[in-house]
Amino acid sequence: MAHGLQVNGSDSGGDFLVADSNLSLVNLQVVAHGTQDHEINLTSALSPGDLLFVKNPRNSTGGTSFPQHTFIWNDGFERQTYTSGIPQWFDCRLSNNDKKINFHGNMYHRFEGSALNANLRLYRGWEVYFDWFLVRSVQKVFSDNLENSGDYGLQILTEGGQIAYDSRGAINDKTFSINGSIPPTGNWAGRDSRTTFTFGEAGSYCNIEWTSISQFTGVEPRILGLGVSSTQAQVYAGFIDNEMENIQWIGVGAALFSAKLFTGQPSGTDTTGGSSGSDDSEGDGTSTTLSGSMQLVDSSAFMIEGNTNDTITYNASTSSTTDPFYMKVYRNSGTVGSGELQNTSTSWTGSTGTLTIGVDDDADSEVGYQGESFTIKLKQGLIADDASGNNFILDEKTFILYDDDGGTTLVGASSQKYTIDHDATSATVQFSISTLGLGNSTINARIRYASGSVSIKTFTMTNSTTKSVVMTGNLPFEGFSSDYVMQVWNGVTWADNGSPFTIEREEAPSTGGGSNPTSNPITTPANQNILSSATSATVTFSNLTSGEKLRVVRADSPTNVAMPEFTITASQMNRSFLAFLPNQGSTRTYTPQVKLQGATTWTSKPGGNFTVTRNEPAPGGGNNGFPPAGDGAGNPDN
Amino acid sequence: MSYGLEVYSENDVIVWSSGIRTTNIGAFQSFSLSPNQELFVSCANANDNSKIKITFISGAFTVFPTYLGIQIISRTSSGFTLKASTSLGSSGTVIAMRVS
Repeated sequence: MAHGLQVNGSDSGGDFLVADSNLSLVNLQVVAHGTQDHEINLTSALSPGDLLFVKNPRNSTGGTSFPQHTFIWNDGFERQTYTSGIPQWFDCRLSNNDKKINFHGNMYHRFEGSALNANLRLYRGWEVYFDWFLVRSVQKVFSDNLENSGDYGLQILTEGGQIAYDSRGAINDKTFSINGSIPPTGNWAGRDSRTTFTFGEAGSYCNIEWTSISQFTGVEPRILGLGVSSTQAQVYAGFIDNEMENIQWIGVGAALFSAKLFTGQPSGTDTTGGSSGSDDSEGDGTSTTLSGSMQLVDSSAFMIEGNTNDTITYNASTSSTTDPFYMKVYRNSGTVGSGELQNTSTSWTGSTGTLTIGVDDDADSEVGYQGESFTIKLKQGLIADDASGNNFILDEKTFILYDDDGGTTLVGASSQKYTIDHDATSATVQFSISTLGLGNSTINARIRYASGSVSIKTFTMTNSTTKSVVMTGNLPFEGFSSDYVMQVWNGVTWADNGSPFTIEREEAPSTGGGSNPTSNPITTPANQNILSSATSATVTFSNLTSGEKLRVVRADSPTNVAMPEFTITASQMNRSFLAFLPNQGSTRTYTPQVKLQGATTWTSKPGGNFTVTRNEPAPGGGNNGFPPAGDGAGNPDN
Repeated sequence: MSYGLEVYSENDVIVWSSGIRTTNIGAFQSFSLSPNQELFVSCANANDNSKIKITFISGAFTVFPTYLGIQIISRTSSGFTLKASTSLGSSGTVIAMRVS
């Protein structure tokens, strides 16, 4: 605190704040109390802000049964009767300028006739006797002139100069302590749905001042009442539906508190002595504080894997078999996807409940790669989010959901493959990412070998952009290729993204033992004659250099490769080829080629061209194995 | 007691001390909101549900609460925000009880 007076306290229940002049707190005082009263006459009027606590409803002689009351109804077809001596709910009624309070008991019964007609009956005539006490702010104590006289004692003012506490406001020996509460439900709860409140401790009082507005007359008259036992209270709030001859139960707009009344300081809270008071409650003091917890049953669905639908299940256990509870999932971060989470709330009455959350994959990555956070809460009540927002949270668990749908594609690659020169020192690969729910977030990514798990390149990506990644190491050797996988960090692990891709390094051209392959001419094959029906030609290369790669193309059309490339392994080699052979009676010229170092194109190998000539068919058919006759001389086909 | 602060009643009974739990009003404020209107109410530790309990009362005892539809849309350590429903005005008094 910045200044002023702060009083902290403690007892067996823990530490608590008694007063703090810096927090604008105004103390509440017990200003009146009584036992087994049907009628209360206050010195000053019951006012908004007062809390009137009651417990232990009795009849005029201290019993728990009341004079029997009988409803009789005859719908023209049959005669029905209903008799009861047990009030269903209680209320307080004001008179004498709100200074006089009377407690009453009420009941209702709905007759249902054989002709689908009905009749609603109400009774509010029982006189009820309560133990009670009234609390009021110390400021109101003074404005009503109820305080003790004198100019001594202890006074604490708020920072606004108003009374926060004044010992003269202690006009009796009573103290009280709130041990439980339930917030206003506020919303329509639906027919036959009434709020049940379990006290923090058995034998507690419950506030009833809010029932003083109960009326039974006029259009859509409203019922407000409190059903009360030693451990629980139930709200009876509703409208009388004259047309339906029924009661439409609704939530109540008032908070309920359970409290105990003491004379002085509660016993057992101060072991050092002093004037110990006594607990005025008749209960055994056994704590019935409501509690509950949730247990995760199945967490396998925390990672949404492609095309996988799964569930997340939480079980809840509570300390009550009669109270309503609900579980609901609340989103903490991220954006709402198109239905990944389904069935996110449930309610029940009793000690156990189960919520099975549907987790569906719909091929879109709505859940960002960094994971989205949700909290499941176990609360008391039937309504998911009550009007006040301060209902009990008995337990809560937070979980993070991940989706491995990445929406990442490779850019600039043909069939998932990049090709680099044989002596390239780097490779540039490009990725495009577009994933819903990620916004403009940046995610961590990396590249690993497809056959391993070790990262060889890390980088970051931004959603809806294309990322160029320059790899300067871990590239394949000349003439080889390597497969890689891009991964993204999803908040838990590195998840593979997209299909594997390949980087291929071209083979190195022949080097001729370090010399330029165009500087060591070969001995060109001799010109060849082939039979008119031959399907191949065989030529002999000489003066070759091992390691070089040669091929043969048509001299008149170098894009037509007659002999595919081959690696020279000896100084003289015979090679056959099939493609682009000459037609019968014609000659075709061929050029040996070699690829220069570092080049991607071929160039002519020094040594010159050679020719192949296909013979004319011999007269009368068949092959003569000789070249065209030309002038006829020497042609064996003739 | 060996230390602390005690207040005795006229009958020499301790009625206020560091050994007695008290209930204080942390906020007591009337409001009159048009549909969808918001109002911030100062209240220390309003975001601690175990300490602060909030309720509403009508300005006078009436058949129908005048605060129907009111909601608390946020809580912070310094206060909470009320909001009327989109279709109804709302009036009354909000009380925040500090119970510990």
